[in-house]
Amino acid sequence: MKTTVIVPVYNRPDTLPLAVRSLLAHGAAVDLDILIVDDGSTDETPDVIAGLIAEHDGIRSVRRENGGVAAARNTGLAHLLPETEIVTFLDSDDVMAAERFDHDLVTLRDRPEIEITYGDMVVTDRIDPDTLVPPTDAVTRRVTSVHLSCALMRRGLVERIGLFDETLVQAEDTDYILRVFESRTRFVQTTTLSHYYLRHPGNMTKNTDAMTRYFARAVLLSLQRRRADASLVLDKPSFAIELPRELI
Amino acid sequence: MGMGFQVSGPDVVYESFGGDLVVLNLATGQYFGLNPSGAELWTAITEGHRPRELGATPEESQMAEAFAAELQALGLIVPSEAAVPATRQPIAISEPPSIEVYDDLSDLIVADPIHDTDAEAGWPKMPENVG
Repeated sequence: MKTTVIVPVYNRPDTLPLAVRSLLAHGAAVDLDILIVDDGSTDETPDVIAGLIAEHDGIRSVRRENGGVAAARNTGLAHLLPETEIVTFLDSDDVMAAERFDHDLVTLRDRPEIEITYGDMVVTDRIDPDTLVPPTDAVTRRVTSVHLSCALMRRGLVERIGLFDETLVQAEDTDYILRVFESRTRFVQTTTLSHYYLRHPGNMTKNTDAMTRYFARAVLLSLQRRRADASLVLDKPSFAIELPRELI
Repeated sequence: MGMGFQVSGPDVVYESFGGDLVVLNLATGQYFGLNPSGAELWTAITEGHRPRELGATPEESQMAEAFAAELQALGLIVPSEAAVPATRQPIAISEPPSIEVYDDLSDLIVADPIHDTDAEAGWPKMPENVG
């Protein structure tokens, strides 16, 4: 099952190779199509992308004018291969877990009625660049949260849900995931560890107001959709997202 | 003259879009959907205007007072000692204000969403003030 992983990137030459390496580590076990979307990077990121493509098979890229992460994800969705069956995303500073595809792709292969699997993630303050996992003394917490990398989506679902809302500066992923789980999507919540999410300590406080506001906007948009169309019913995974203080 | 109100605390946040308004209680995980009349009254009430003085007619002001009492009972606003702001235009309440209570996203709302932002580090941690 050809699986396209959309990796949007903007000015992240240092972490992008780690993200891509965490995908390449799956080797031939998964029929991966790594699609890097360069959102108009202004640093050496384009050179890093060219180097990755030259060194490895299964990687391609598309460059666009800078438009933000939602627009970049949409560019990725517009460039799926004709043979793409499964779609997921990986942020350019995160790392896919070693067991990410093992069970969930089997579920999608064996159960054609299932449109999406949804797994867990680990939030951490550090990722070892050699082992691609958090070092033993890192602060970590396994959570079930709103994150696109937790999802393996069948192409038909992606086409049904449509594009990311580019008017949302933040919480565009929350909006997208709410749209998935309010439209009678047949899903399986799994215990798969999808990826390691690198937390940048100290960023939360200064941006809490804007973040909460856009999160509230995503909730309001969901409410408006459900009011307008009674056939929409929220049926979602059980989330557990509380973080220890060290990761907030 | 009746009392004024304010949002009950930092755990109560709200956002309006397309005439509607949603209020989130980050402590309980409940969220509340207000219709356009309710949204307009919410804005005026949380600015400190006395509900009794908000309506264009006595009946509308009574409606505003009843709506404020409902918001207070839900824990979303509390009485305020702050000075009442300057008089505003009365609100012509075209439809009764309504507020719907939901708890189907409480596991997401009760804890802060984890996505952070960082202007220095690029995105997906989106920089602030973009867009």
